[in-house]
Amino acid sequence: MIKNYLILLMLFIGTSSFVVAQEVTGTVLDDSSQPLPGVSIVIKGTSTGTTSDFDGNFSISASDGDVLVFSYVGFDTQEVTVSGSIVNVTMQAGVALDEIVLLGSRNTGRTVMDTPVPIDVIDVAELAATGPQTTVNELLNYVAPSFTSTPQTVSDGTDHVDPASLRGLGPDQVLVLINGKRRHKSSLVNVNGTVGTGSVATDLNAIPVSSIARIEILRDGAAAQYGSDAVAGVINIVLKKATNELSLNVNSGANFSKHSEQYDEGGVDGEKFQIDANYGLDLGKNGGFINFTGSLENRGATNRSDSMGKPIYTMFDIATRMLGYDQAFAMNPSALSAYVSGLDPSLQAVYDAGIAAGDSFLSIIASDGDVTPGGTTPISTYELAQRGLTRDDFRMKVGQSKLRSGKFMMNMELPLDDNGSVLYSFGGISSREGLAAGFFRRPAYTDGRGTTSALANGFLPHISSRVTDKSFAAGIKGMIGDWNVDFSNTYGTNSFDFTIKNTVNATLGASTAREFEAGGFSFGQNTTNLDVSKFFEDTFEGFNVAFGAEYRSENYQLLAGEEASWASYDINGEVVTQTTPDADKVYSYFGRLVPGGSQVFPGYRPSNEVDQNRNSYAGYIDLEADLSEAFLLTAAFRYENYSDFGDTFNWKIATRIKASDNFAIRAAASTGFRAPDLHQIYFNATSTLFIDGIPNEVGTFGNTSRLAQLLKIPGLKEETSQNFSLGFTAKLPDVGMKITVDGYIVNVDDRVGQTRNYEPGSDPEVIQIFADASAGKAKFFANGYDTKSSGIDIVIDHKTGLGKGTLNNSIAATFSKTEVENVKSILGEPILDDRAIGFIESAMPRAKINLTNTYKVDKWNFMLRNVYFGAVNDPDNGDEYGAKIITDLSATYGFADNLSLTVGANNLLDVYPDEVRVGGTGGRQFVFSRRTSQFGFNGRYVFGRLTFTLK
Amino acid sequence: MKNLKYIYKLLLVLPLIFMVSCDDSDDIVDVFTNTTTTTENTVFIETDATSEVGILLSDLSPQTITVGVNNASDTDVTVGFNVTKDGTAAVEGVDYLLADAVIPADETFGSSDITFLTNGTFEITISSSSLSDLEIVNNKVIFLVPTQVTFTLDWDDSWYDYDIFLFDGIEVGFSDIYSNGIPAGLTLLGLSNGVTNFESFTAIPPVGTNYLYLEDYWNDNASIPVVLTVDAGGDVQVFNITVDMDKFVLSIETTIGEDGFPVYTFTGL
Repeated sequence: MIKNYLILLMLFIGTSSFVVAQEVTGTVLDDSSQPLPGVSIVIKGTSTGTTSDFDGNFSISASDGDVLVFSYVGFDTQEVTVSGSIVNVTMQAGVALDEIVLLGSRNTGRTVMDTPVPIDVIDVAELAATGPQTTVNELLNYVAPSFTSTPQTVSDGTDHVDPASLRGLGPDQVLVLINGKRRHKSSLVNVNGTVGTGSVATDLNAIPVSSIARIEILRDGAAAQYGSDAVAGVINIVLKKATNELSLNVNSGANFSKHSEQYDEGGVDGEKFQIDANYGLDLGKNGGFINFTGSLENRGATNRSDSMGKPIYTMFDIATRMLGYDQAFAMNPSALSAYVSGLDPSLQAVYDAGIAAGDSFLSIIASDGDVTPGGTTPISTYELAQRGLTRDDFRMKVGQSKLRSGKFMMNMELPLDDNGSVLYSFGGISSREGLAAGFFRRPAYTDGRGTTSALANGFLPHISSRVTDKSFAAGIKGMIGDWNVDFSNTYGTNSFDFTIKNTVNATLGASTAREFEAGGFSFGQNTTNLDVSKFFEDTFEGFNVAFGAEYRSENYQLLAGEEASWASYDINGEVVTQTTPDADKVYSYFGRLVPGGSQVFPGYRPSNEVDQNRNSYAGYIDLEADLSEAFLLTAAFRYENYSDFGDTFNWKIATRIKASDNFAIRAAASTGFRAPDLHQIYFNATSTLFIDGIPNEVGTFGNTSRLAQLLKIPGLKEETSQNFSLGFTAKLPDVGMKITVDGYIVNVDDRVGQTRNYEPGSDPEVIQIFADASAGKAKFFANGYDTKSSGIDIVIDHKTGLGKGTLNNSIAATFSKTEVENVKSILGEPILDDRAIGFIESAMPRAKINLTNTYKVDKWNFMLRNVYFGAVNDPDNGDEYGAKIITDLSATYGFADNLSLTVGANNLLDVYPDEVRVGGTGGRQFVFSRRTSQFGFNGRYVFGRLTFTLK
Repeated sequence: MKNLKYIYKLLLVLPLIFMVSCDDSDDIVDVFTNTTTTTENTVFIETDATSEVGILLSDLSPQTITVGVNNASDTDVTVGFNVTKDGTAAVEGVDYLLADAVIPADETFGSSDITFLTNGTFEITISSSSLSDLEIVNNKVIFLVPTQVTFTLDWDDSWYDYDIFLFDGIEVGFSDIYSNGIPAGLTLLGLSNGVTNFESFTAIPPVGTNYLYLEDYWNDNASIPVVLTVDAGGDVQVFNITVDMDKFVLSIETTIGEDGFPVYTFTGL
């Protein structure tokens, strides 16, 4: 394969024609003669471009006669024909407000207002310098319309990969590109009860923000152009190209909030310390560069749980303290309850009440477990006092997980000749180690998972997730004749490894280890692209023809953990099998079978192991014709064939009609698809899920499993979609305003989702398979339902002079609605229950409005942002959590050319989501819903950032 | 590159700050009990019962009382009992017979048998132990000793020999039990097999429907009148029967009343 690539590379370079190029340099200033950083500079009709640096300087390899297009939000786009090696430009504010985008069109000279579909351009470099957000997900959640990212808590690996969605669709229905090349997905499939459950998202947080120049978000279906996943839209992350400048950011902050540390006390937690360094070098003298970014982050955990309100002890625990564990275990319930009740009148009252009610002795012993919300727990109260403990000692960790990460990113381009042939490469590696806690294993659990023989007060198990992400892309682009050719290969892997800490294998009793390697999974993807395009200036008013091909291979692996992480042991220390007599199994004092495996996260079993591959190839044609100055018509067609589920053909037609220079109408219709992820086809595991507070060993069975066949669940196939959008763009130059309004309908058929939990029923074969998997319940991935999404996005940008400074205002609003339809059934029951439907329909805000104001004057830069997050519903009970407005405020002062300080706050007013209803908080541990939230529940975050720019 | 020395200093200082920020000593904090545990030793009645509901006896055979200690002693432990009947002290030798239990040295369990002489609700608790440092647990074992039913068959002419049998079911048309044996699928719960003109036995019919079978031993089929008297704790019912063949003559429907004791309903067949 490598040999073939080299031959192709040599052919490619050899056939390139020669046109003399030169290094063009210059400075971009604004209309007040101040340097303008971040200006996009693109050679018209090509994908070659750069951005101005902090001082407005730029350099680019271009030939005399090339047209350079300068664009920047809030400024009129300028086109300058190269003549000589120096081009200085002064941008005029408030005229066109456009910026050239590389996404959504193979014609690389199109601006945001020109495109037939809505595209947002997020100036990440600017935002990261002034805003409080430090990860890609955080940043987009507060800036991008219709993008919603919901941080999770107490949900295993999902704690570290915030599921994000565009236009209310699933996290897996957004395609992510880096420099226009497909980015691999995370290896994690979300199987806990969270937003995005059952989906495989792209791990945006693996990319250091400081390596990003800007992010383009295409808010429209684009599968006919980019292939699978581009159902809701496409996110293109454009990496920095700056050279000869070291940009160093030191960012530190913490949550100073009324609920920090302890719900009812307030304090400081979630301390964050982050160092980012970005530096670039020239490569050669023809505009080549290599840009490096390093990022180190240490983020502390936050905790918003209150004192543990659940029962903590039973009478059995009192007896173990008084008599010793083994002795108490030997006592019959009658003796134990009678003995304990004699220790204190409050316990005697419990005993007497139980006897009067006709309760069994075991019920009396565990009677704190029957406590109703607001009720008393006399057994726990007594025993806490005896042990000198309080309910605060049993708090869970509900909030932001602890995270430590190191990230590295590289971006380079090396001109190979004077013809514009460029060898390019980018990639990176990141390693994140997160530590998130699960449910407190209180002694009061009657199935023995609290393992009080080893830990008299139970324990709070932790899941340590090591997320390693690697990527490398290399390609060559240039001209062959009059055709732009881009040949590239992109490789990426993502892996999760789980270590379960401070936990036990309860079946091993007091001899248990406290830490287990629970296995993990990895996903690898290699994509080879050939893209060819040509712009015919003389056809119509311009006609761009693009075509290309893609070959992609994917691999998904699931690795088992160590034996003790998944096994149940019998009383002799042997692994429990089907032949183990019931009498040899380990039972709790209450006669319940003690669950095996590492508590909170049983490791993956050898039988769960997976190593599966698939490949696909695709071909596309993309036509874009300016039939007249006013009338743009585009059409795209794409065929893809997957080795597992077959082929798919998709198309897209879009148009833009300019009614005037300042007003245009645009519309698009397309079909799309999303290939089922390998994870969704093959993932299988047994994990502990808490349903209504009760722990359940629940198996997720592979789609190709025998059980799935028995239940007649068909093999996964692609989701299909139909997208329709209609909108307009308007510019009001006199008032420096730009408006885009776009409505859309996205119908997705045969969506892949995780089914509800099914129980074995009466079929002996099914019962046996359930038993083999040690699962009381099972769920699957299935093409099980359709969704219909509709909405409208409104973006208004405004810029004006105010005093000596410049005021920018931006409103980005989205209103969306997603409805689930045609839910299929298994075993006579719909595969989605109300809860699962709730996650899809109403767990994310249907309305979001962002008003951002920035004011620049002299050395000051102020930012005030208000984001309205619409109401959401709790999938658990349908309760509505009301709309909230979050306020961000920051001020930046430039002490010198190379040093600036930013201080500010996210959620300045310390706003929290509505609290969960009484009785639904899990004993005051989930004061705020763990299922959904509009903006997390960390409260006010105050930060300071020092930015050094050294040359 | 200007200000290079500042970069070097920064590059030295920042990792140090980062490392300090990475302190993870408080990541995981176990909950430890602050008080010292005082281990006690107890003696208690061992019972399989998981609830307060008493054990309903189906006969009056001796019942074993098992006692246990948490930690074995190096000497024998003698355990004494307190017995109540219907909430008041029972009289040994009148209401019951029970000796002290002994837990042998180095053992954790011992036992003694109790025999009930009357019916009623008996609660047995531990009253004493021979080791003073043993904590006596006030748990108990409860026996519901039900009323026995006495079935009496009486007829005039001793020439004839009739016997009665109590079964937990019925087989209509069955005959000659001495030749054919107990009907298949049925369990014998009690019988009289005398040779005079007076037959009697006592039993505790279990929950469910039970049947009384009358056997004409010599197969006289003489249509002799007999008197069947049923005495359930003083509740006496009389059934006049003509013995013209072997047959089932009475059904006994046993249910459990609110007090936990059996309630009998007798119906002639």
